[in-house]
Amino acid sequence: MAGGVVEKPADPAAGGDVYRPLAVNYINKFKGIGNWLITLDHKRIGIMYLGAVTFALLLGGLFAILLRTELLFPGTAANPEVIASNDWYNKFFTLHGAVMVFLFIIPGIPASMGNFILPMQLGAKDLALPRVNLMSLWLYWIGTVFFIGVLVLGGLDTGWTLYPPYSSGRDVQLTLIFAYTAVFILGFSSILTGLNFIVTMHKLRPPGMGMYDMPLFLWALYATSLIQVLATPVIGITLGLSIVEHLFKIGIFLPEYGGDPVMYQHFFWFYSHPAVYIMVLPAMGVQSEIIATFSRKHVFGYKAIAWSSIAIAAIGFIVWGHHMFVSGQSPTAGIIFSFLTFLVAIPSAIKVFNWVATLYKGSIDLKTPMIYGLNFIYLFGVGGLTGLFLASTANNVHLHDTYFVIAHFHMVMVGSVLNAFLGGVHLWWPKMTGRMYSEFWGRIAAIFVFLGFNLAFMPQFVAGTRGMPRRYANYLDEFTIFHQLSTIGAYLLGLGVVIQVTYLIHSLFKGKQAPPNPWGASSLEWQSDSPPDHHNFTAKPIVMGPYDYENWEYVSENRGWVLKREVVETRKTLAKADH
Amino acid sequence: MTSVLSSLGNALPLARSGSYWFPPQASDVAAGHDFLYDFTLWLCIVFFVAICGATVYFTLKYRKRLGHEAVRTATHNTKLELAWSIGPLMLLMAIFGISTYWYLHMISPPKDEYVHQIDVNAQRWNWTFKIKGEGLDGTYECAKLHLIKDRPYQIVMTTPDNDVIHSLFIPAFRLKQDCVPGRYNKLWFRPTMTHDEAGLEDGFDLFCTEYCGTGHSDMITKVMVYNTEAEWKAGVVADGDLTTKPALDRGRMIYERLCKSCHTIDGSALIGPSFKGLWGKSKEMESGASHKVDSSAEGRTYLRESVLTPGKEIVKGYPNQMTPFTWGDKTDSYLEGIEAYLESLKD
Ligand code: HEC
Ligand code: HEM
Ligand SMILES: [Cu+2]
Ligand SMILES: [Cu+2]
Repeated sequence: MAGGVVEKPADPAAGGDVYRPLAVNYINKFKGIGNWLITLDHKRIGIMYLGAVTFALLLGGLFAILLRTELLFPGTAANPEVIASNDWYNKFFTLHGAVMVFLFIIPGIPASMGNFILPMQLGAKDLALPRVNLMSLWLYWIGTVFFIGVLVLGGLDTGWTLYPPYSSGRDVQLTLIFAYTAVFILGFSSILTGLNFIVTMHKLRPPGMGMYDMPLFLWALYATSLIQVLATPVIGITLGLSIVEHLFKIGIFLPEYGGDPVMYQHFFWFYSHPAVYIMVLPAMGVQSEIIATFSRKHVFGYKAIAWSSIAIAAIGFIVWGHHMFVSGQSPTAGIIFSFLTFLVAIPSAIKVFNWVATLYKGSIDLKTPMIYGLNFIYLFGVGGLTGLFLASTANNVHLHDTYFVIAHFHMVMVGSVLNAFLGGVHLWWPKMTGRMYSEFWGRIAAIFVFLGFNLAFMPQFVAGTRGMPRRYANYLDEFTIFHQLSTIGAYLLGLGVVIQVTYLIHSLFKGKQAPPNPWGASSLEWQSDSPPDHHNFTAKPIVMGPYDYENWEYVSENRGWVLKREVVETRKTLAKADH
Repeated sequence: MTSVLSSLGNALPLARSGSYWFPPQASDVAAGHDFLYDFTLWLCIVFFVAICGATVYFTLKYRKRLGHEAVRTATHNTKLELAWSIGPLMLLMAIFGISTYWYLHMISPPKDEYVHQIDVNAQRWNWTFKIKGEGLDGTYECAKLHLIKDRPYQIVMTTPDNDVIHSLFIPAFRLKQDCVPGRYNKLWFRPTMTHDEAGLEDGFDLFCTEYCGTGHSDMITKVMVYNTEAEWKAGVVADGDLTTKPALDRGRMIYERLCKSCHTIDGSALIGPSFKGLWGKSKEMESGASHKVDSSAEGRTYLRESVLTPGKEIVKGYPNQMTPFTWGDKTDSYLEGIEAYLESLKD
């Protein structure tokens, strides 16, 4: 039996017809860790990435919990040590940011779910360049090892932004070199993944699937990949320049050699602003799939969503100066960057409106992924709208480098990206592992994440408008209440994640066997077995629209959703006529 | 609704705040800033409520249940989509317009008035405000920023080349500007409220908002705004003229302001040797001679030369990088303070 494509549709009344998973699937086809490490199978690579980015998330999360605990009480210049010293705090906020940004959020969704799902949504056997894919995974690991080196060698306290002269203007620390190397190597990993995705989407679409017939997740990955390929080299060049500056003492970024530190900021944000869209676009892709699937509706405004991804990618390249309004950059440049930043808000808004419109007259099923989908709309709403305050030069001058900015980007990066990541993990968990997770605990954890999240970051907006600067190990008494609320929120959020890890691991051993298509989703990956065969599909999947939910009917919990008999028959006739 | 917010505000410990969101409006751009903030906030609230309201309404109304099926609706609607793209675009342009109007005001000092200039030097991890003007005999180096209400000021700031970026942020003024080594950045403002009027005896907060290392979160000082020139002068002299303080305090303050970026008091070497245990310890010089700081005549001479002409004798193993200091007629008093402070740090 080939996945969801049943020759003889089940008779629910008969009951006896159960789904039997493949005896040999991609997980148990080859045994031994050695096989995993050199595998070319995009699914195995995706799973390893998923493990690695989850590890990074938990590590970065642990650092966050420690930081928030330090901030429970103000601390003073005379006695800064609530838990540990200022230097300790500075190292941990640096590592928290660096691990979360470079090891979790940037690779997160594309490298794990993108790798696993992208070829399957195209009905393909693998990515176009499987070896390149393996190489990108290995580069990721090498980069991770360097970051762990930073940690082991005593940490780094420069902030994830690595601004000179604070970072590179002193005696060169070994850990700084390690961090540079890590970012450099991870950049290559990211570029290779992006390149591979672009090639795959152009070359491996099955006959009958045009660009506009792809699921929106793929459009999002396409836009992301474009940015990865075009922007990432810039961060490599920047770090390279900084090294050259040190070796040959030519002034580039350091004033002592006649360089300009603000130039570094231009370089850095020329990469890092597009990078925030590397983070959020895949999340928006997952979001489109979740909203459509669980309201059983064709996504409203498909083309608008698809092209807004591209528009965001394009405009995203010319707004970097909004991070530097008060750096001494020319006010005229500031006004232009402000204008462009407002423009980039429109395509993001379009997506949100389209998701909401998709819900209209649907049949909305509040499964765990959908709870994350609704969380996403809310949190991205807060995050995106607060971006407007920051885009206004006149407000930015006050809000820049305060907790308002911290709250803004955590709302978008953690609020949206983490939510979509968790939503995506739940959506594709049955496909990837062949197991169903506990819906009950899934919902509980989703609610914890939502509540914890709001409590952690809403108070930070107020602290920020009142002037609480970011990256402070100690603070004035007047901000205490906001920090304490925020810390409690962080604990709740942490609890949500712990619950999640627990029941997901539990499901691997005790979870029910998942049917090929538990949700009635319509993109091609759902026509494979759960877990899929080594070659993804045991029979050619029937190519159809990603949101043609009418083609599917629900049979039973055990069989999940199967393609309707008429659909299978028509396609067969069509296929015959073609030959 | 504003009253809802302010009552919410009263429920929280907000003793020092002007409104729920912001500290008092103490400069002439603060009101414009707050207006823009409120304007944007209300637009955002309208959109946010509409989006979340529709989401919740649809979720409840079309929830999955027996006998309810999804209906295939239009897959797109060009008119609607154009409307919800262009409508918000117009609103964003309105925000942009107001914002740019106030921003231009923030960056353009008045042309028809005398603008008082204050030079600011930011160093790890303290601020030095060089204040001069009528009634003052020369320039005073103050640790706080002293201003007179309703006068326009231009701040010209920098930080030494071997230091790092800092940023001067005064929330009550709604203003901020980075101090970048190798550049002179400027910032103008007109304070419109004294710290007393704001109920802040100690002055308005002034923070460093560009991360600069260990002491970043302690790089905080105060802005004092006075009604009259007399009050202002008294403030400046009390802050900038250390000769009136007891010797040990004087020494500590000089250290905090001027020496801390190169000398530690915990025994570790920074750019120069640590002050801990310096007192009475004989040091070898590059020249081969050896000297020590203590209360003997030779010790005092050595300290004096170390501070006023540091290039004369270089401590072995250290670079000739110390700034020469000159304090005019305050020199003796300052050296006396430094001596007392060094003695207090002896092993
Ligand atoms: C820009 C960095 C810098 C600053 C600021 C600085 N120093 Fe120094 N200082 C040095 C260096 C480097 C040396 C060692 C080389 C030398 O002797 O000139 C030194 C040496 C000294 C010595 C001799 C120490 C010994 O071991 O015998 C004294 C005393 C001293 N400084 C006092 C001061 C005082 C007082 C201040 C503040 C008013 C100050 N320094 C500010 C860099 C600095
Ligand atoms: C779409 C997802 C978004 C992500 C992932 C994101 C992420 C970020 C990050 C990481 C920062 C600060 C980084 C730092 O200083 O360390 C930031 C700042 C900023 N964001 Fe966003 N953002 C998003 C959306 C928006 C939108 C829609 C707008 C405006 C319309 C916006 C405007 C800004 C501005 C102006 C700043 C600079 C604030 C400052 O430092 O003064 N952002 N954002
Ligand atoms: Cu940006
Ligand atoms: Cu600082």
